[in-house]
Amino acid sequence: MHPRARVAGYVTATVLVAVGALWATGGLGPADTPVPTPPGREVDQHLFRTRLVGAHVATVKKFGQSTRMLVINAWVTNPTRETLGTYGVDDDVFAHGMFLHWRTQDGPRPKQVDAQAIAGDTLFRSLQPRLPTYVAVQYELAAGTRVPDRVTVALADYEHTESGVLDPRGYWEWKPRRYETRYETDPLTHRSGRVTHIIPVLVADVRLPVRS
Amino acid sequence: MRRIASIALAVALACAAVALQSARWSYTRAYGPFVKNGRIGRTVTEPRFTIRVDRVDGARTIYVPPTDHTKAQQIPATGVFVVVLATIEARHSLVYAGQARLHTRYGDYDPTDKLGGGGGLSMPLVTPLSYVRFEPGMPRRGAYVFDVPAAAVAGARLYVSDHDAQEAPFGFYRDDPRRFAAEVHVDLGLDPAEAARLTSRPPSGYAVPEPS
Repeated sequence: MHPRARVAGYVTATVLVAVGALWATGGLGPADTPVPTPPGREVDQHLFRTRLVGAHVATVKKFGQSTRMLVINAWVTNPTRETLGTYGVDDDVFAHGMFLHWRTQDGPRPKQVDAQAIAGDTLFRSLQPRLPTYVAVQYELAAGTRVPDRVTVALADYEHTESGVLDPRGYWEWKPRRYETRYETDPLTHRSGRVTHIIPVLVADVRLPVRS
Repeated sequence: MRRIASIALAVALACAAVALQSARWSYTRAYGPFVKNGRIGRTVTEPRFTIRVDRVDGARTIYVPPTDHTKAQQIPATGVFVVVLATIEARHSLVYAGQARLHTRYGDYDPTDKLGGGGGLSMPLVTPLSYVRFEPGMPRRGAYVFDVPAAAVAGARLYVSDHDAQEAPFGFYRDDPRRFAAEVHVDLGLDPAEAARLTSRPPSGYAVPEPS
């Protein structure tokens, strides 16, 4: 083989491998870092359009017991063509894509316990297409938890899978930044195995003042 | 020449194979419900139930009368309440007409959960037809209530199915409720003029009738 042809072959092979590697790893797109966003500005999560508007600490009485809650308020619009929910076990509910940045020195991390839509005195959990809905996401505070003056809330990005193993009609799930596989034991069935989790792309970091 | 023809044929076959893969039927077309169309005022007969939509009303707020445990409430619409009054009768055995949607140009709206009863764990403040168990020979009249943007009302159709009670196993992971179900699509007669009449000045304090 002519030396020049051999060099051309090596160069072509190298370029092909580089392009393949870039394609497999997501390419040269911008880094998936959340954009600092002021309160009240709309964030496009693709599954929801969200405006985080405030945070406050409230005491909620349930079944005769008072619980301190950190409540995050948002206006949420469902841009899809079907009814979605604020809270539940499914992946495509609003609260599933909300993450609280938390410093360990402020005590135990608040636990997300519910998210309810509010209209007047009425509480509900459905997000109807194209109807902006006021939502309160509740985080239970432990006795030793100190709530800072400001909290930062990250919002996940979603993508629609056209056809998948779980549902051939397609479904929404977090847009993956990467995947993490861990060895876990199911608390109900006690069966153990490797479970793969999506680590989502975060589209926005919203810093909210907390009213006490 | 023969070799070129062979290569061209191979490429053409490969392209055809790829094109055929992407040209598959949608899930709904392949496995979707068996649809029977109807119109407001006419009875539609399904294998397990009959339905006749009697009237469609609009409302700004819904009045919920007081009970022994709750005070009277006015439940506000986020958009406008569309109240579909219908009479349903089981044909052969007990049946729930539990899956109702308002199909609009903005998408499909589930019945509002502002009346409570979310997740079927508690009774709603006003019982919608979705919660009623119908028995043969005992037609019952009641309402489905939807909360939709006013602009979505024109052309809206009511989709009703009993397929919640007929879940079909799909694959390994889940039951698919939509496969081969029977579904009624009722034209509610909401032309632009009728939609404008319903949404321009909807009444406040609408009393949704309990099922007869």
